[in-house]
Amino acid sequence: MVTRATLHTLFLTAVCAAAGLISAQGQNPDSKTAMTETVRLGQRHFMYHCHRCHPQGEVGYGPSLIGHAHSAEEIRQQVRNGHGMMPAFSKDRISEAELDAIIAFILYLHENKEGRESGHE
Amino acid sequence: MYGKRHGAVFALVLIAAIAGCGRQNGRESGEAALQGQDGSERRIDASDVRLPEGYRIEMVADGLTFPTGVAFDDRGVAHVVESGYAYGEVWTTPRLLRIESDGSIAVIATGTKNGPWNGVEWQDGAFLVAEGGEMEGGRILRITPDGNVSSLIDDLPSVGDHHTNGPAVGPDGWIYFGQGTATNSGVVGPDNYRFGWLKRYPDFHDIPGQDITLTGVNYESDNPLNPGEKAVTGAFVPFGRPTKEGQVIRGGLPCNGAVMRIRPDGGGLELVAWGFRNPYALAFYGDRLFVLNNSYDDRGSRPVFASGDALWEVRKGTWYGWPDYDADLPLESDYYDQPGHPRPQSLIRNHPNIPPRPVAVFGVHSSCNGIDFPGEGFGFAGEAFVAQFGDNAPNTGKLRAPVGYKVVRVNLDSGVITDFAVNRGEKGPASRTEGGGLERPVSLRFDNTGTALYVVDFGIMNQTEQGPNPRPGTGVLWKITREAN
Repeated sequence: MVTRATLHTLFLTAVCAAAGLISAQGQNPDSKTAMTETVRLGQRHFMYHCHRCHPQGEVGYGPSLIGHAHSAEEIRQQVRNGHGMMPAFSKDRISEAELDAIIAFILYLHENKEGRESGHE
Repeated sequence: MYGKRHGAVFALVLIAAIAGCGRQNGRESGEAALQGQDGSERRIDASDVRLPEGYRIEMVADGLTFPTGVAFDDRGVAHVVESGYAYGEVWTTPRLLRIESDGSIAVIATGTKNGPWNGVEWQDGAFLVAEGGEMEGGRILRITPDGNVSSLIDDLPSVGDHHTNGPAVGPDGWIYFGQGTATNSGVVGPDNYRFGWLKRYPDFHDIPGQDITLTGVNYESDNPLNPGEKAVTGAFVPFGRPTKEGQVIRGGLPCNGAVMRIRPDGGGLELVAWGFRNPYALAFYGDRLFVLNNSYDDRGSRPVFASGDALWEVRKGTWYGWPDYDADLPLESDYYDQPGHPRPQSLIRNHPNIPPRPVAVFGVHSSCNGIDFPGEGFGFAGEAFVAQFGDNAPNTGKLRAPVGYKVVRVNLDSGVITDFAVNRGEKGPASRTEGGGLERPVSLRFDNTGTALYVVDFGIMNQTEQGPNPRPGTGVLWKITREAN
């Protein structure tokens, strides 16, 4: 059974991975996959809603989001319900469409997490 | 007092400059130890800085003491200001230095014990320097290349937590500058005593940009002015003075938490926008004014959690939310309701407007302090380059890991933030990770051609349980260029 704490960690890990992988040209040259329009949109929403606590997707005020696989539904539950220091984000704050894009971005980051320099969580 | 030479002090700082500055120039790789004035060492190795492919970084000057800004004269010669003050109540001499192409350094002008000098700009044959005014109030200084110092405006409300910052010259020729707030979030408290100023100026407090009506929320705290006693303090009033619901606080100029402007002759003070906390860095991109705002700390009588610095495009006459919003989020929202820490209540009953959405929100406590835009040929046209000083944890709030200590770029349309210059290996300042790269990037500016990015590195400032521990003589000026294709 996946606990809320686990979901929180999974979500944060994925989000951090995403931001940190973006390269000088807006995409990691080591990326396995190209950024789709949905992923790019998710990146924008991530920057506004998530980046402050998980800068570049890495550990900061909140924990690192890199390195843990998780499903779209797990991410969705974590965002909507929050956990610990992480607040819940209502649909008024992040719409369903925006959350779909954020999730796509997080999954993209996880898929492309390889190639990061050592020392970054 | 300005325009007058202080011979003995000048001689001393000149000796220090000769002894401590410019020993290395244009160094791209290979290690060297930089000896701080207090005996501390900082290892310098440009190869420890990771950049996008096709860019290179080199050290231009070292041995600087608390540098905070760089500007270029008409010949393109770099000039650096040294602050003369650092958190931790460390006082040195504010200085304007000329950095020659061979790395040698000359002292152009020195200031008095009224730092920090926060930033420098070049306009019509002279330098403009924001004198933070920790002791005597803020000023905008005009300094000629031969060292003549005059004040364009003085008595700015700058003896609190945050100072007079900037300046930036607009396309209209006016001088724009930032004025930080006295407090973290509107209420004077014991944290301000620890900063040092509450003991010096027990009646000092924030001044709003226009008349406001208070909600009457007050906060009880220890009274460091009378140990063993308690004090009750409201918003926008001196320490130990409660407020009432409906109480009107008169606003006016000069005020705190604002961007203001003056004519080149120093007259005509105007409010541009207010409701900032510490608008530390200003930059124009064409006729668009952008401001980096240092946001709330987790400290004082009214702590705020998880607040990220913001980049705003400034609209004249707009209120940007301090002390009741974080970016465009009200502090009363459940977002700020954290376990054991109830959300802050609003202090102002009649908010002038809902703050606009910022261009970007940075990592909590990353301390974004420098901004500029590249010219053609450097790459990333239209993006903002931002210097991140790095966190001051645990004194401004706890973090799980170091944040900042790098240069990032921001897409103005999407708000996407991307690393540009960052230390290899572990996160954090170079001295903490035994690296030779960036320590605390505090400012940056492109040269007159727009093709070379100069990064001002404040030097070592560790945080201890007793507070900040800044190290004189460990500051560095870096230069980043794009290699030929």
